[in-house]
Parts: sequence; structure tokens; C-alpha cells
Amino acid sequence: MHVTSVINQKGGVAKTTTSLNVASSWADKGRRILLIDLDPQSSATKAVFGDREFEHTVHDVLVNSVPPESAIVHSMNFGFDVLPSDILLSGVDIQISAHFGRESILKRKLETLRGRYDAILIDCSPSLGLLTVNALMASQDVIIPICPEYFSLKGIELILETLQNIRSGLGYRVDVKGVVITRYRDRKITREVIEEIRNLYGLKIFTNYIPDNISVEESHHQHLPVIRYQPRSKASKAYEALAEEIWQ
Amino acid sequence: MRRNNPLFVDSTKFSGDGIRTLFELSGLVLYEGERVVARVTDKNGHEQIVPLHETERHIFVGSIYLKHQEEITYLFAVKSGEGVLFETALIQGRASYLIASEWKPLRPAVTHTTFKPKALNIEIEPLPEFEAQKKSLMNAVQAMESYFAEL
Repeated sequence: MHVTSVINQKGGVAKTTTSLNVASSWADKGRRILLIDLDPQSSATKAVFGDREFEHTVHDVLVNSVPPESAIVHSMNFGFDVLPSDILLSGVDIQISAHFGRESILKRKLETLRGRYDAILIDCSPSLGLLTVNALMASQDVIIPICPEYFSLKGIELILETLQNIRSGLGYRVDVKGVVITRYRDRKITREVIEEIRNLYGLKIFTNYIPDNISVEESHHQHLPVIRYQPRSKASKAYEALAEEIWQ
Repeated sequence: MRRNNPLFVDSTKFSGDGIRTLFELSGLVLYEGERVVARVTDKNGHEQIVPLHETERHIFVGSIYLKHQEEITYLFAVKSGEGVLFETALIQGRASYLIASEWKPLRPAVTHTTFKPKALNIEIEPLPEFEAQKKSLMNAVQAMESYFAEL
């Protein structure tokens, strides 16, 4: 069971879109996938289930000792299981701050799911707090989605610093699996930023860039992954290819 | 001293619990007969010498047991035989799982005695030969520029 976090402390870089479509492409190939929505804004949960309410969410798993199996729901449209989020998650940092082993609660909870899934994707919150630290401590590696613009470099620096802090302070190593280029438009500045990421940080950049395409946004409104909403769109093909590239 | 972000402090360890601290030094090139060590001093002034070994290209690591979150001071030194060739400035920190540093030597090597962490006050000086090389290079560049300008 491989656990990967999709993280960027900079917002609006298509974290949730990437999580949903990569997880859906994997599930489409018959893989058993769980998506954990660890963002209090619940964007992934809302994109999959709309305004549906849940008896239990990831908040109950972290705070109220609810086993994750009791909170997990399956999405027919997306083909994977979801551990949904809700707004109560925004107060979880305070609720768990005094817990013994507060930084690895999620990791311990996921142990009970061992063997049930081929992969788990965690859609992280853009803020840096105990929630994000829990996601990273539960993960073997991270995927960093970025929109190639000037400020994306600062976002990468913050992530690398966070990973280094986790290694030095908590004694746990999380690798960077690679950087996903989202909302790609072939422009000089875009190419320069991508080159800079490669040269400055030595990070792997996945070769399948996700183009800026309206079908991605539209698919959210239909509560469908783009590979089902518009399977022939450029974004759909790019996400399918990207998902396989990440899986390898 | 750089303060630790409490978000990245292991809550399963109490202050003073024993932990294995890995010292990682990057950017160092050693020549034949040289070795590198970390000199670590705890808050009671007890000094330990930690030999570091190259695990990746130009990255040296070594570990010792320290008390979790205890204030320490450390420096890295390149030795040949019993003599110290180069050493870094003293760094103050807290014992955690990993202490990573870049190799930034001071010249000439400073002899340190056992100390209390709060008594440190050492300034980093640039290497004199580096400044001389830089000046010489700048002169050469200026000479070339004026030569080509005349052409």
C-alpha cells in the first residue's frame, strides 16, 4: 500500500484536480484506490459528492476514534473510495495539539487499511499545520503540482524546507516523487520557470504537462473526472498519461 | 541559534530522552590522509568527537546519542593525523534526529576549549586567499575588456 501526498502550500495550483483525476485514472485501470481529503475546504469531497452530508468524516477518524473503514465512502462516478472531509477539520490542529504522537495519528489510523488498497492519495490543505504534517508522516512520497509562474518557485522552496524539517525534527524521510506542471501554456516564461525548477532544485518533472483546458473545470461541476466527462479532451489524455507516469 | 518550529518536534519524546542524532555535512571534498569529524558539546560542557563517513558524493554522516531537544554546540573539522586543517564556526542548536550543515570552513583553524553554549562569540572571516584570487581575476577581466575595446 503506497501512500502519496499531493501538496503545495501555495493555493490554486490544481492540487485537488490533480488528486481527483490521477486517482480516477488509476481506478480506471482496476487499481484499488483511496483518496483522503485532508483539506478543511473539502474541495475534493464536494467535487466528488456535491453537497452530500456524511455521518463520519476524516475529522472523526482523527479526533473521535472512528475507524477509517466507517467513514470511507465509494464513488461510482470516480471509481475510487473517499475518506471525506468537512469544515470541522479546520479546528483539528487545536484538538490534537496536546495528543501524544500528534504528528502521526493519520499514519497509525491508516495501518488498519493495509492490504485493502493498492495506493492512497492524500489531497493536502495548502496551509502548514498539524494536518499537513500528519499527511506527510503517513506518506512515502509527495507529488507537487505547480502552475509555472514566478511564485511557484517560492512554493517549492517551502515544501522542501518542510520535508527537511520533518526529517530533522521527526526523524522521517519523505521523498519528492516529482513535480506536476498544471494549467500549462506554451510560453517563454513558462518554459523558463520549468527549466529553473529542474536546475535549481534537481527535482524530477513529470513529462506529461496538464494543459490549461476548460473541460477540467466543467468536469467538477458535473461531479465527474475529466477522463469520463470529456475523454477526448487534451486534459483528459494528459491526466491519463500522467497517472501512468506517476504509477511507474 | 535557530529556533525549532514546535510543529516539527517529536511529541512522543520527552525533553531529555535519548535519541540518535545524525550529523550530515555536505559540500566537502577530502584529500588523501584527511578525515572529518564533528565536535559536539552538550550543555554541561561534555565534548564528544563523532567521525563522519562519506555515504554519497561529498556528503559525510555520523551519529551519536544525545538528549532530545537539549541545547548543544557543534563544529566540523577536517583533520590530518592529529592536526586540524580546517574547521567551521561553532554552531548552536538543539539535539534532534538530523543536523544537516554545509561545509563552510574558517581560516586559520581556531583552537576551541570546552565551553558553555551561551559563551560563544566567534565571527566568520572570509578566506584571505579567496579574496586575493577574486581581486586578481577581476584585474585580468578588466585588462581583457580594455584590450578588446581598443581593438
